[in-house]
Amino acid sequence: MIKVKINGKAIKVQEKTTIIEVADNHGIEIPRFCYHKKLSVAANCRMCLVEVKNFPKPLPACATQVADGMEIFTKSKQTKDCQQSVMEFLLINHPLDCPICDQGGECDLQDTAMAYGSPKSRYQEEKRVVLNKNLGPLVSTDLNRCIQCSRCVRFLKEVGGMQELGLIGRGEHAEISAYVKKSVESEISGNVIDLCPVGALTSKPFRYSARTWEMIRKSTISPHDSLGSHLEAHVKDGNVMRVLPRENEDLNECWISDRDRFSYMGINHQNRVKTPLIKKGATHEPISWEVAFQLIEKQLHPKQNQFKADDVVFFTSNQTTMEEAFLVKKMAEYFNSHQIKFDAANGPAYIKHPSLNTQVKKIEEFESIILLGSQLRNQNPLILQRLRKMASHGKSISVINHIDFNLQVNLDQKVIKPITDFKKFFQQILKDIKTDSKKISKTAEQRLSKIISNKTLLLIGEDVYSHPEFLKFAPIINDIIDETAMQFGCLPAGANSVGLHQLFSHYKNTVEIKNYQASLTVNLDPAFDFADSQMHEMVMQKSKFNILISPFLNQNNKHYDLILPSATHFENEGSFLNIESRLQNFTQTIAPKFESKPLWKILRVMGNYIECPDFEFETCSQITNKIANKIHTFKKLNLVNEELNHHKVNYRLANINQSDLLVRKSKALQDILHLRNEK
Amino acid sequence: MNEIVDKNLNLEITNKQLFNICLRTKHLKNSNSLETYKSIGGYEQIKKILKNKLDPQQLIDEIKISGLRGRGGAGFPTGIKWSFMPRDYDGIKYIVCNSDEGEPGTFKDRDIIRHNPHQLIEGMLIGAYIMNAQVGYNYIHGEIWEEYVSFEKAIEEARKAGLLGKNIFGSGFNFELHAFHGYGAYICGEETALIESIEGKKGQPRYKPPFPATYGIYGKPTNVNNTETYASIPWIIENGGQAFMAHGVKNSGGTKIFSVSGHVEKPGNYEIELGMPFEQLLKEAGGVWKGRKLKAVIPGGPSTPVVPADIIRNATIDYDGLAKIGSSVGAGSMIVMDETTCMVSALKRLSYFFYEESCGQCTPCREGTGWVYRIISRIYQGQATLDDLDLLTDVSKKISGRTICALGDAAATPVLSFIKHFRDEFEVFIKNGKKLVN
Repeated sequence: MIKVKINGKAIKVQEKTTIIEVADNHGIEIPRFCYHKKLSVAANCRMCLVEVKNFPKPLPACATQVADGMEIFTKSKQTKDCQQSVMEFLLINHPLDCPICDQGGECDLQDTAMAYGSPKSRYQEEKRVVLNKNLGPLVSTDLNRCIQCSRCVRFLKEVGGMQELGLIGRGEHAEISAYVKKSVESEISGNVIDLCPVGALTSKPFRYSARTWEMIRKSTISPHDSLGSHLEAHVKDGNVMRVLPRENEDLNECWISDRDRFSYMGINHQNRVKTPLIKKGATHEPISWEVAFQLIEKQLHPKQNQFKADDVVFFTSNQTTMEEAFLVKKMAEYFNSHQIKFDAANGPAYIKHPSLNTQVKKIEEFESIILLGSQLRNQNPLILQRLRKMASHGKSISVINHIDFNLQVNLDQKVIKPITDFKKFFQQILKDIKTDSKKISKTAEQRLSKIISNKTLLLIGEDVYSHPEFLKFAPIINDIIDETAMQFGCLPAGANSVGLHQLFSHYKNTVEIKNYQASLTVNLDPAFDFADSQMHEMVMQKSKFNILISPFLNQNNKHYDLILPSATHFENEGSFLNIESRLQNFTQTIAPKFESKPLWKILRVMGNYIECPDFEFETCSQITNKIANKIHTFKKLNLVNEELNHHKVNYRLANINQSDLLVRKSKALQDILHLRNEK
Repeated sequence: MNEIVDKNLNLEITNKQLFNICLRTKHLKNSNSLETYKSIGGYEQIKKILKNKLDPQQLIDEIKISGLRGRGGAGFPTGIKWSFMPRDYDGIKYIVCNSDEGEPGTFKDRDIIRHNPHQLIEGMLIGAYIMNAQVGYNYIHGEIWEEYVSFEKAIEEARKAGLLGKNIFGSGFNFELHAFHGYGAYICGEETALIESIEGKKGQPRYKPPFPATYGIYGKPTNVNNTETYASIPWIIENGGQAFMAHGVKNSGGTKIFSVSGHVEKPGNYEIELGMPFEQLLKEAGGVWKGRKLKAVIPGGPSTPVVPADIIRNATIDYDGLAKIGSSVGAGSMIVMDETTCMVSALKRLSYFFYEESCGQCTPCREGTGWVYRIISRIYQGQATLDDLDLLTDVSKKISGRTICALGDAAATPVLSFIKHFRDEFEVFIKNGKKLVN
C-alpha cells in the first residue's frame, strides 16, 4: 500500500493502480471517453488529464500509475483548463444535433460537455464530414459523430478476438472502418453500441424507435445460453424496445452476446400462434382456450382413456424453466411414463449432473485450460471471451476437438482428430505424465502432459460427454485426474441444461420409437432443435394425439392435433439453473402477446383438467419453492456406466443465430445469417 | 557526466570550422562503397572492439565523455540513453536507426546514407555490441527510394564481407541489420510510432512509459537513435570522447550537420563544429541570396521556434547558444528567410504540414492542428479579426503539452513563435487583408 493525495485528501492505495482507478474507487469523478476498465489503455482522448504536483505537464489519469507521495488535483485550474480545452476540441467537429441523435439523453459526450465544457465554442469553420459504413444488420453508424476514442476497435480486437474495425486515415481524416466491403461478424459485436460514448455506433434495430427516458427498465436473465447473462429489457407501451447488459462480474461482466441483445425482435414475429389451434383436415383453426382444455381432458384424462405405462411421450427444450420442467415431470409421473426427452438438442449425457463444477469467474484463476470438444463460440461466447482474456495474459489455452472451430483465441495446443482417436491420445498423455520427461516437448501429448497440473481446468463440451465414444476415454481422464489433481468442468449449453439434468436425473433423455397414445412437444421446432429430428417425426406418426405448445408455428405443423400458444421468454417468469448451478429467477418483462400464456400456467391448467394431483399452484414462485436444489460438484467424472446402446450419434452443429425459437424469429439475427450465406 | 567533461576539457569557443565526421567520405570518389570507407580506416573500430572484447561500460563512458547528444531533435545524451537498455535481458534486443527525417527542411540523414552508409553500419554494429542487440533496423524515410536501394546495397556489401550476420570477425558476435522503407508519414519519425510501423501496424505513437528500452519492437527492449548519432560513433571510438567533445563546446560536443535551406546562395548540408557563430554558418552557405537582408531563421526545423534576424545574428549554433535565444538545435534543419518573406504565408504552409501529418490519435492534436490551419488560412484570405490572433495563440497553447507524443508541441511551436516575434506583421495583414511584403 502506498499513500497518495487526491485534492488534498490523503488515501492509501494499492501499488500499480492508475490514477483513474483510484479516483473511481473513491468516488472522485474524472471525465473520460477512451478509457474503459475492460479494455486496454489508449490514452488518446485526453479528457482525463489531471494536474499532478511536480510534473510540468498534465498527465492522463487512465495511463498514469500512482506513486508514493503523489499529489493529484482533479479540480485545479490546470485540470479544469485541460478538460475545457479537450471538450472544445472534441466538439469542433462533432455535429451538435443532439435532438435528432439516437444517443441523445444517454450520451457520454453530451453529459460531459454539460459538466465540463464551455457553453460557447470559438470554432467557426466548417465541420468534418465522414461517410457512414455498413457494418451489418446490428450496428448502425453515424461517423460524423465519432470522436475517435477507439473503444470499438479495441473491443473487437481484445474481447472479440479479431480486429474487425480499425481507425484508418490520419489526423482529421481518421475514421472508423471495417475491412473493405466487410461487415462486423463477431458474435458479441453489439457491445460496441454500449461502448461508443457518442452516437456514432447505435443499435440498427432500435434506432429512432424510442428515447431513453420513455422506457421502463426491467431486469431479466438470458434464456439463450447456460451462462445466464443478466439483461435489462427496456419496455415502452408493452413492447420490448431493446435489451442491454446488466453488469455482473461473476457472469457476463459488462457484455452480452448479440443473441441476447437482439432476440427480443422475435417477440412480435408474424408466425406467432395467436390463439389455440385445432387441426381441421390439412389446416388448423382457432378455438378458445376452454375448448382446447376440454379436448385435452377428453384425450388425456386417464379416466376417459386406457393408458398403459409409457403411453405418453414428452419433448422439451433446454430452455425449459425449472418450474415448467417440474410440472412436466409431475405429469409424466402421473402417466407413469419414462419417455421424456428433456434436452432435445442432445443425446443422453454419459456424465451425471454435468455442470461447470466451479464458478465462471474462477475459470480465470486457473493457469491452463484444455477445451475438450465444445462449440464454445456458438454456445457460450462470453465464456470463450474469458479464455481469450486469459490467453492474452499469457495463460495456456488448448483445444482437443474433432471439428476445427475458429475460436479466435491464441491457442497453446490445437489437436483436431476423430473422436475415436481420443482414447489413444489421452492414453499417451497419461503415459507422458507418468514418465515426466525433462526433454523439450515435441508432440502435443508431451506438451499437454507438461501443462496439466492441479491448476488446469479441463472443460468438456456437451457434444463430447453425450457422445457414446466418451465412455471409452473418460476413465483415462479420471486416471489423469488421479495423477495430476487436474480439475474438470462441463459445458452444458442450454439456459437450463444444468437444472434439467438435475430434475430429470433418473431419466435418460431418450425416448423409444413405439406407439403412443399422446405426445407433448414444448417450445421446440424439430426442423432445428433436435439432434435427431427424424426420431421426432417417427414418434409423431406413431402417436395418436399430438400437442404442440409453442409461441410460434413450426416449419411443419401437420402432425399436431392441437397447438397452444405459449409466452416467449420476455412474457414468461421462472428460473434457470445456470452453468455454475446458480439459480436465477426472472419475472415477466411484458404481458403475454395475443392469447398466449406462460407455459407453467398452461401446464398447470392442463393438470387440473386431467386431475393431476398437487397441481394447485397459484403463482410461479409456489412451484419454485417446491423444487429442492442441490449443487453437485465432483472431483472426478461421475460416469453413467450403463450402456445406452440404442443411442444413435447425431452431431448437431450449433449455430449461434439459430439456437432457439426466439433467436430464429429475430429479424436482425436472421439477416446476419442471410448475409453470410450470400457470401 | 558533466563533471567528467568539466574536469577534462577547457573549451575554446572561437575558431569553429566546418569539420566532416559523419560526412567524411562525401568528397571522395565512390563515396558510398565499402572500399572507400575501408580506405579511411572503416570498420577498424568494431574490429578492435570485437578482437579485444572491450567492456561495453567503458565504451558507454567514452560516449558520455564525447558529449554526443541525440541528433534527431530531442538532444538527449546518447551515452545515458544507451545505458538504459537492460544489460542482462534474456532474449532478443533490437536497435533501430531512425532515418525517417520528414520535417520540411531536413535532408541530412539522406546525405549520410547516400555518401557514408558504412560508417552508419559500423556505428550500429558498435551500438549493437554495447547494448547486446542481435537485430537492427534502419527505418528509411518513405520519400527517398534511391537511398533505400543504395543502403540495401551497402548492407549486402557488408554482409558479403562478413561484417554483418553471424560470428563477425570470428568473435562469436552476431548482428543482423535490415533496411526498412517507411511509407512516408511524418509521425513514423516518432520513435514509438516507428516501432509500431516496423511491427507492420499503423504508425501511431505509443503512450510512454513504458519506454522502448523496456518495451519496444514486439515488446522487446529497443533502442532508437538518429542516423547522425550512429554515424558519429565510429569516429568517437577511434579518436576518443575528448577529441569529439573538443570539436564542440560545453554541453554540445562534436560536430553537427546543419541542412541549410531557404534564401541562401548555397543551400546544402554543412557539418559544423558546434559553437560556430551563426554569421559564420550563414557565410559558409553563401549568405542571404540576391544580396537581400536577413529577416528570420528557423534554426533547427519547423518544430523549433523561429528567431528574428537581429536576435540570431549574435548567437552561436550549439544546444546552449540556441536555447539562450529561445530556440533549439532540433534536427539542424536551418531555414533562412529573407526580407521578402511573408510570415503569414510561411506559417500557413508550416501549419498545413502539421495538420496534414497529425496521426489523429489524440484529441488536441487531431482537432487542434486543423483548427489552427483554418484560422491562419482565414487570416491569409483577409477574413480574420484581431481576436483571431489571440485565439490562434490560445488554441496552440492548448495543444502543446497535452498530447501523447511531441507532434502536438511541434505543431504549436511555429504558431507561438511566429506570433511572438512577428505579431505586427500578422496584425497588418488582418487590417489590410493583404501581405505586408511582396
